[in-house]
Amino acid sequence: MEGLLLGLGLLVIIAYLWYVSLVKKRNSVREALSGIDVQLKKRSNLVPNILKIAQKFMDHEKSLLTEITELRAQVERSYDIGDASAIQNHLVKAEQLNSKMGQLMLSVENYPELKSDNTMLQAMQTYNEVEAHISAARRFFNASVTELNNAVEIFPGSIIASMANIKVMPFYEADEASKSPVDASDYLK
Amino acid sequence: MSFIFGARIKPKRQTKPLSAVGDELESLQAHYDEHIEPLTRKFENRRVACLKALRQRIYMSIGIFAAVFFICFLFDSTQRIVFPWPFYLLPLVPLFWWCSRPVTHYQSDVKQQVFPKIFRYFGDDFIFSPTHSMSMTTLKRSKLLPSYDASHFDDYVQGTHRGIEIAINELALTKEVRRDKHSETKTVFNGVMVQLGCHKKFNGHTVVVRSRGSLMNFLSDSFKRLSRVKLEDPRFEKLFDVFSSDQVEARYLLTVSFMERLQELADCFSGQFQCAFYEDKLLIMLSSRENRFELGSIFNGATFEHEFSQINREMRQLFAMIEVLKLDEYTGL
Repeated sequence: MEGLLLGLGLLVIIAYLWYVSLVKKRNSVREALSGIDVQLKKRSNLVPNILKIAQKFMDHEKSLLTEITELRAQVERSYDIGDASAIQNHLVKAEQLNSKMGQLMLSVENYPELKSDNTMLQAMQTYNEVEAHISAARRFFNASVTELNNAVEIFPGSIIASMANIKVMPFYEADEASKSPVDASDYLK
Repeated sequence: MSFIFGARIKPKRQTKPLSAVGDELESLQAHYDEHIEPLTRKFENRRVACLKALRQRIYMSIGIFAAVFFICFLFDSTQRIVFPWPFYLLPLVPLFWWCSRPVTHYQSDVKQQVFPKIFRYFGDDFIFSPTHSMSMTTLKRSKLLPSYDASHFDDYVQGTHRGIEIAINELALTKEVRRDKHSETKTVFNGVMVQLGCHKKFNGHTVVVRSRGSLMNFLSDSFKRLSRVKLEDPRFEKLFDVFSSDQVEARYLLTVSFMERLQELADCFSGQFQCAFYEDKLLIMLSSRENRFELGSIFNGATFEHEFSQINREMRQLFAMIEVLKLDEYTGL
């Protein structure tokens, strides 16, 4: 009887420690997510300045500028950090904004006046710096998500996780356009 | 031995010629002819005088030692006083110190007058000082130094290479270790500290240390109040452990390409390499038994061609860090 109680006690302690480790991993993902949001906020603050400068010169890119403004507003919207699909949606929008901003930066090349504008140059440099920080935050987030997902999906963590309502989290992935291979001939025409 | 037995000491005009890799020899020769060669005559005379003084002192020391030995032996044999045998060797310590004085003076003068001119070859702002040193409190803040009791700095070099500020200092750290009933001094670090300027701005503290092993990492996820940063590159993770006060900033500094470059550097220095990003600087701690920036043998002529070639080789090796890490380029990676 004593042996059974001892075994049961040990099992409870192990299950509790497992639960603690899962909660820590989930919180680490949330910390990483907030790290991404801090960087996304920095980018959001920078986007209107870039758009203001660009608008003066880029009459033909109106639709792109509008799209960027809309995406920025969507990225800035609050979301539920406990809901994996809301997080995924938020990260997809952030990546779409990144992609559109990349397009804008490429388009700047076609406007020599804009390209040589000092304010624009400075804004682009700051933007690149923020992008480097976003990329670092994304690596931290994905590392934390890998740890959490492994712990949640592998038995017996999966049982404790389902009891504690801890779910797998989505990765912050690059958008489809960045994943597709670059055809050099498009640029060398 | 021929020196002890009275061989003639005469000035030497040529020892080893300058040597360099690639087409650098020409510029090396030009700098040598302009700045170093004019000093060689003066120092060759000093070297000859120093060798003469050394031989004279050795002869006198042998005489003094023999006299002391004889007197002690006389007292010992007449049983008036019994001397333990180490007592006979005691006079050797001050005599050795006295004999080496001219050589020490000569070497110190070369380091103070010739070496700064050699280092000017790497840039006008390069300074060399055998006495100046990095701030120990700044180095301690890097969190790279092992536990130690005493520190000893040697040669210090400072300048700018490809727009990057570089400071180099030789450092030895020792610790008193208790063994049974007696304590002994153990060297815990011997090598070079290299401080480099960095293009990227950062506020946190990130250290890259040699891998502590998976067991240690399993037991503890922190290092001197910094938390572990798990990076994606398994080869890098096998060589190093990274700890930081800011997880995002650590990844901002240690990009995938920068990790590759650090591995390349570790290969060059046989893995004896650790670094810290703090206070807007990159500090590299290079463990090595080699004593850098030293003068050749006193028996070689004071042409300083060998020293110049040697220092050039050693500095190129250290400059390679800037080139390998691409600290001089803003690549964003």
